[in-house]
Amino acid sequence: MIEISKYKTEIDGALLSHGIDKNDIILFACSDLDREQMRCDSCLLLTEKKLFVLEGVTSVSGKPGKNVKKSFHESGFAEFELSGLSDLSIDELVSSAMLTAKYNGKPALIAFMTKTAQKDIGLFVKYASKQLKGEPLTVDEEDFRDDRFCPKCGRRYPDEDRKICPHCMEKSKLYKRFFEFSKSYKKQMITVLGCLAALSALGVVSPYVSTSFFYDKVLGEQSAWYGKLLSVLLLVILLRVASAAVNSVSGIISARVSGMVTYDLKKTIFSSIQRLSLSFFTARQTGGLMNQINNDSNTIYWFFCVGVPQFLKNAVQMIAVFIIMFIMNPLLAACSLVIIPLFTFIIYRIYRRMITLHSITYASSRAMSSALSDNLSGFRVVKAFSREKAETERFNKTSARLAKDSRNVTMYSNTSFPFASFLLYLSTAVIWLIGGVMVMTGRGGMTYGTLMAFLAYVSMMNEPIDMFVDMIYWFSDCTNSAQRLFEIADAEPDVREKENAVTLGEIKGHVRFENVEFSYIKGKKVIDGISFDVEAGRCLGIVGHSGAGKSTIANLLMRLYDPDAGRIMIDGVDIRDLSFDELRHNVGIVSQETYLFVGTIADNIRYARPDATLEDVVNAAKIAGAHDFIVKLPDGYDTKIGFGYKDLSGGERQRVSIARAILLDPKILILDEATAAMDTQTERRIQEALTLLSEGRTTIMIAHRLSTLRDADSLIVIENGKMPESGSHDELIRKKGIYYNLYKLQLEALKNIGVEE
Amino acid sequence: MNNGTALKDVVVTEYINDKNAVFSEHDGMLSMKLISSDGDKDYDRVFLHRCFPHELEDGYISVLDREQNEICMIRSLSDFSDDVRKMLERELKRRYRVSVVKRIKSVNERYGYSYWKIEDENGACEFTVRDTYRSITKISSDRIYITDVDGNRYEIPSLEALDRKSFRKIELFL
Repeated sequence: MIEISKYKTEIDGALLSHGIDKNDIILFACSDLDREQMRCDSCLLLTEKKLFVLEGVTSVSGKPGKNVKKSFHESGFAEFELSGLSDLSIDELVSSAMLTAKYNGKPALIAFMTKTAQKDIGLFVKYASKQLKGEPLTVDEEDFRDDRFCPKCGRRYPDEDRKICPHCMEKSKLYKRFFEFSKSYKKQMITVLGCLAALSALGVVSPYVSTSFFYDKVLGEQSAWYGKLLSVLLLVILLRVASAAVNSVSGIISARVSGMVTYDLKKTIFSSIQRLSLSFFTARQTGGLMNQINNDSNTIYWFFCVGVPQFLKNAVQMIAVFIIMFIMNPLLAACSLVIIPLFTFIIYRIYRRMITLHSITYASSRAMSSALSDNLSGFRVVKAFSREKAETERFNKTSARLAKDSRNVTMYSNTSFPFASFLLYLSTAVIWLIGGVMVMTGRGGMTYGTLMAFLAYVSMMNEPIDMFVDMIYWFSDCTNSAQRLFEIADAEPDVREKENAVTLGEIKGHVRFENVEFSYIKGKKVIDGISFDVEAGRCLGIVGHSGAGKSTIANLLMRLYDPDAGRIMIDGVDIRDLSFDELRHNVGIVSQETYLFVGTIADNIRYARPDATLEDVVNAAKIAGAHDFIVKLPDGYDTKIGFGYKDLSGGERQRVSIARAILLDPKILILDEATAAMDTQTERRIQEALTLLSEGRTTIMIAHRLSTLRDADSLIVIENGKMPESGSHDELIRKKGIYYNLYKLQLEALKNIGVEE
Repeated sequence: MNNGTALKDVVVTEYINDKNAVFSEHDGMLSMKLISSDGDKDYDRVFLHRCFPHELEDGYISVLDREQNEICMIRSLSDFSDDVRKMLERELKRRYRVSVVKRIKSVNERYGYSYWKIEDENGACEFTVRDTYRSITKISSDRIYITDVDGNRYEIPSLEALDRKSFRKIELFL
């Protein structure tokens, strides 16, 4: 039996009652919805003759690990003779799917499933269909490699391609990783730590000199220091100056180090982003992402520049103060500690709520900046449809939400923190009371000076606790930020370069698609079983309505995405085996999206080959038909374009990007609606130049204007991700199918506007 | 439009009703006969897609064939007799079935992914969500749905009606 899902022994009894011999089962899979789409165990069983569907609920009794007893309570049963069954397929529903077939010529519903079970049922369909066709049931190992779950906790990996279980990942590793960034600044870090230790020591000595020592020794007649007022004053001033100097030194160094560390971090994040696949960006709004990186790095900078040094200084100081307090008077020290457990509990509650409130505020801030960048990027459209008022309202809405959320944070912190601080002051009052009695009764050797020193130490202890409260919020913010940044740094590109990638040396340019399937969103196939073959040096035209999936073919050949099934080969090698360098130096694309970077026109043409000579640049521009308009510009090829500079028209941009692709001199050239924004005459001129250029190189032309494709050696028609027609122009015309209709329509349209082909 | 041409004069959409379409149901699947003066046409399997699944549930429903090409449209379910309407509603219910969240037991977020334990109409249920903020879609200020890693949807028809504890667990992501 091929077990697609693990066989459930508890159904043995139910099988017997239906007269099914377990040994006859050749294929088993489990779905998770019944015919009413309610959650249940729905078992699909295939024998040589029949398909059975057994529905029911499994109940478990006994203690986990011991005497576990599972029993199956049947709730539904159906059977289908294989002789009458055909066309097994899965129909996608919004949040589930259904397995249907033709049974005795009529549509039949076999089972429902959630999208989670769809993978298993998909495999069931694959193997059951083989059985229906009478093909042998050979197992493809790749189908049964289920590593979707974390071996440690059994939870599902959020990202199947990224075998990291967030649940089992240790948080301490996050900080370890962060500190790895500061490794190269070891010396500076040690200096800062030294400064902090000195600061703590000076901080601890100061109250002793200005209280206990001053009252009991300088003003105490029996002491050797009696009356040396000036020297002690000098000592106090000296301590203050030393403390300020050390503080400045540590401040300067830590600012420098944290600046460098965040710079390194940003560098890492940026290079990680460059590594990522296109799908990462299509899934996120760019405005939100930019805001995320910037804000998060800033939060981390301030936390490490100001927060961490403060924290370390205060922590060391606090421990020292504790020790001194215990030496001075253990009873009073104990009294001042009584409040700590209650305080910790309250802080813990505040901490949890603060994290939530801050995350809410962060989300609102992200929403607001997304709305802002959305509006500014689409400003032309806003103006054109005179939607300024509505846009202002939309922005106001997000802005008001941010204001409300920020207010909530402030209100909460303004009410909860003073309450927590009040508790601490209560402990001071207790010290006043007990210490006062001790001084008056002279018990425990308590003098007025010691009590003053003690109170100074208690307030020194309270001070950092206030700061620790602040630190909690700071720390949670920083953890959130680090988490988000590392999420980007760790994001695995969907499209990865293979280790030991193959180098072909000289690429000839033979392109082959074999049963390629692809979907941007799971379950929605954009490319469905497409196969074609373009010999080296030939030109293939791809025809189809917009949205048919033509550009996706180009994206797949460029390996911006990987196919879900099937393979794409160049010179007989799967492109997944080729290095990115090899692939992208040999495949050039001019797409509908003609993004030009800030820089000169020459820089943009040279983008893919920075070492190209000026003559090459001019020649490429001439072929692309860009030269004529460029020389008319006052700054020629040195004209600055891009954000804030000269704005080129759509057609001009396209010509510059064609020149860019031509300069790369790729063996395989993809022209994806490359000339769509041009008038017919310009297009024809460029087309002629490109035809000359395409000699000796494989060209894939995508266009919905059929005249563009008339020189193609062969054509394929794409419709709804499928390839219903292929052949030469004449063959397709003779066929009188989709291509013929499209051709006829366009010809008539052109005649109507007075353009003869 | 120039010359006062209305959009509806430019676009040819065939709206169906009891008079020009006959639906039948076999094992829960719809078939349709389209009646026209040029001759009737049979479709052994048709699919119903709402054009505005959130804004208008009972109107502007596209009728698609096996190849997912639109055959015609239903302007309103009320254009059909009770029996047919019920048949169409059953088909729609099946297509748009989602889990309805009754209670959120816990949401554990780790590194951009979150693990949810909820209770829906079927009882306890667990799922995993990638990029939580983006996986929560707001249909209105009160109604949302969550999409898990596999593409299953879990709807909260009213945030306001959600108990306080459950709301606290989700408010972070709204």
